[in-house]
Amino acid sequence: MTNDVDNGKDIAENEPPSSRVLQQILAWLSELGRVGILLYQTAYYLFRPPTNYISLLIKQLGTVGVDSLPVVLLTGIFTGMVLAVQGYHQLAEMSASSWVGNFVAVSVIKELGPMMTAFVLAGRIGASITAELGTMRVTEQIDALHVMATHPVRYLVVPRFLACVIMLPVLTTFSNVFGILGGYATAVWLFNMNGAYFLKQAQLAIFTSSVLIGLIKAVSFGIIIAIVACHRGFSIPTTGGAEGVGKATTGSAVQSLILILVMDFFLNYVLYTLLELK
Amino acid sequence: MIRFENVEKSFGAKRVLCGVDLYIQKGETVVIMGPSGCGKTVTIKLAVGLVKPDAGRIFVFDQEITEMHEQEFDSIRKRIGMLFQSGALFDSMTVGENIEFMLVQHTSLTKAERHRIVAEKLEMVNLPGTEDLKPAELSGGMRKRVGLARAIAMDPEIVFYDEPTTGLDPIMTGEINLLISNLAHNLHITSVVVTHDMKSAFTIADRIIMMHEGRVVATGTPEEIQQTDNPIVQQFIHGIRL
Ligand SMILES: Nc1ncnc2c1ncn2[C@@H]1O[C@H](COP(=O)(O)OP(=O)(O)O)[C@@H](O)[C@H]1O
Ligand SMILES: [Mg+2]
Repeated sequence: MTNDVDNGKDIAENEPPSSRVLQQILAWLSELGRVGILLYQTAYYLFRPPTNYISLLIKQLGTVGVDSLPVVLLTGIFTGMVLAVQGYHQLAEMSASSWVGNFVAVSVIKELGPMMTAFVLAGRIGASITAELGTMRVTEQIDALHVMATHPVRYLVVPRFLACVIMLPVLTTFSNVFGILGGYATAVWLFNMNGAYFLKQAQLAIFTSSVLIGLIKAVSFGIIIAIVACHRGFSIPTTGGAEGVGKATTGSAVQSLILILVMDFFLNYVLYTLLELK
Repeated sequence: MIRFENVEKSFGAKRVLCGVDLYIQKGETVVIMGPSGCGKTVTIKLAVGLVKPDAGRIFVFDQEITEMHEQEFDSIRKRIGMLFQSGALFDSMTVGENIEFMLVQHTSLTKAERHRIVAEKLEMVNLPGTEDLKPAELSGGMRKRVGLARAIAMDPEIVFYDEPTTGLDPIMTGEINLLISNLAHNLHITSVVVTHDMKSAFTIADRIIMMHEGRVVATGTPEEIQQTDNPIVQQFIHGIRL
């Protein structure tokens, strides 16, 4: 973490387009390189935590986990309700409305639970981590940490990274439970289905591997949110000011969302097609 | 104590330092002076390893830091204090927590011992009893003084000051200058002060290093600097006096 940030901005105006494209690609690659270095440093300092580690971690677990819970639950319950309505009508065309329980449970646990939770967290936590670290950067607090012989990755990134990696699966599990409950309530109250039958269907559809898939996704999304947010916060130039922090904050949320989608596709491909999990 | 040998540094296409040579001896108070943007801050950031040089060699405590590993560098940083231009206090912590930060991270002192040291340092910067305030509640001058107390918490051998008096009123400027001199003389701290404030420079310096456009253009005692016929130095001194 040094101050050497030049974001490849020195692209001359009068160069041919091909060279500009090349420069852009090089800028992306060097950005990727810096993210790689951050990941490496995070892994390194994960096992060399700062002295007051526990209190730092607990604080982050609170912010990432406890404070996000209401929104996550709300998102979860509505996701389940929407799925039940959609599922009921779609399946009715195949005279298979009785499979709603199955449909809701599978969709929630393997796909939408982890995904919606990660989206909420990227918007809520990712942006706030970037804003916080970015502000610390432009007010020289990160340099101050460094000079005081405390590596910023060790003191700032590691607790946030761990909090995201721990809390994403936990929140996803909460979201899943509420999603299925939302689907249940909709099926029973709106469509007059048998509740016990709905739950039986849901139970039959869920394998240990389904839960595992969801949790693997949740952990991966947690890593993405933490690393993207910290990287964006750190890479604001010291001269960036409040404007730099603002830009980085929106940038962080958008970049996280995109990477989460890409990662989701990639994981689906690997887990289902290559490892043939159910 | 500190030596730069032909140090170069660029940011992107912009050359900030083009071959800086300088040394700082144990116990002296050296002022690095020069116009804004000439590379003074970058110079001290190089000395504490916040920025890595592109070329040249840097020695701190007679150890070459240029290629030094972070862990090794940290043991050097524990012997260094730095006052940042903006104070750079951690705004999520109280004044007391800011000052004891390094003691918490790097020593096994008990809470009571840490509190005693915090109180003592706050006394030194004339802010006794302010432990529980938040940085946001402090004025600019107070923030600099808390930053100073934090910089000397571990009894460092070298303290770097980046523009310690910029943006302060004349009375506060005088007070900070006095603090810097007192620390240097009473605690035998080697002080490196970066400033573009001529008056402060001539008040506190044992020796002045004059920088211009990424180079050292003159060095000497305040008297020598005032009497030099180097046109760049004359222009700088003259320009400020107008
Ligand atoms: N992290 C950085 N990235 C890009 N340019 C920088 C960075 N730090 C300093 N600079 C540039 O280097 C030059 C010297 O800066 P600095 O050492 O802060 O000057 P000063 O002598 O006023 O302290 C300035 O033009 C500044 O824009
Ligand atoms: Mg400066």
